[in-house]
Amino acid sequence: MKPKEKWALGLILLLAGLCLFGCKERHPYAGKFKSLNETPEITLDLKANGEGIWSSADQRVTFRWEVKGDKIWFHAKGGGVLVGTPLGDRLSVDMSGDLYPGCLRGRCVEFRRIPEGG
Amino acid sequence: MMDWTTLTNVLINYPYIIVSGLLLLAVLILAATGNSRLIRAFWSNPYSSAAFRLFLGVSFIVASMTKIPYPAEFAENVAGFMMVPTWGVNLMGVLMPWAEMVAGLFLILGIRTRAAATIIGALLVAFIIGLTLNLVKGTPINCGCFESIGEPISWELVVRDVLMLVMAVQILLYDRLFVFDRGGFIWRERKI
Repeated sequence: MKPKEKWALGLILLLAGLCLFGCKERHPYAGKFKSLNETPEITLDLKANGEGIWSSADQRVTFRWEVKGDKIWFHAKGGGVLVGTPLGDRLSVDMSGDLYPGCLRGRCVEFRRIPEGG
Repeated sequence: MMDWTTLTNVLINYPYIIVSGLLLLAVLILAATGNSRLIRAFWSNPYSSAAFRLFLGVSFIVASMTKIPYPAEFAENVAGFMMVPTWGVNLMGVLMPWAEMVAGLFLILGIRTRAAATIIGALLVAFIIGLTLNLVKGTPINCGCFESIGEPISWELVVRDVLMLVMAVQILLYDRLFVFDRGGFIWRERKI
């Protein structure tokens, strides 16, 4: 194999590796969630393809979501980011806009998963 | 499977600590012995350039890959630094991550490495100025270096960027191994 071919093969492997690391496991968190203590009620629909819908009364916002570590990041098209912490069948979303996103009491919106078909 | 956050931590923090430690050790040896030969040997060694190219290349590729899919978020980070005119914020949000990606790839692959090091050096100078000004002013903003949130600006980040700038300068001056030149990829030294 010529050096140029070796280098091209290396480049392809590098790009393939980057793509592989870019793939994320979203499936466990996909599904519908409903807020617990909000009025009006908020519905969160996390689709398996990484798209999502945040709907409340007549408001409807689409976003993209991804799993990073033990958190779920919600990316709005306009540049906004929210971070959620999954806790079993619950999801706690930080609305504070803190530099260190977490979930302090009273500053998060709690969601509960709606069972499929429910 | 390892995700981006873990990968970023492993790739950036550990080599950063090792390289910082090596540089600190070099300075201590210089201070203790009063002999700058060791430092000079390390500084002008083309293998140091190759290592720095790999470190900077991977760092900038990883940094760009968290920004490229979400340019609006990165534009928010850029706006937070208050260094770019309003009309340039979105442009910067789109172009800068691609510049980081291309320059990083060029450094790793050995294509126009000194040009890539110059671009990365210029970006680092801008980051250092932006971070320093905002730290002095006390602006509570995110760095936007590797993530759009959860990464507040700090003096530690300034030190990291200065170390990376030192590496970029070293590459610019002494890189000559494992480079693509006009004749293709070569394993011999390039004339400087």
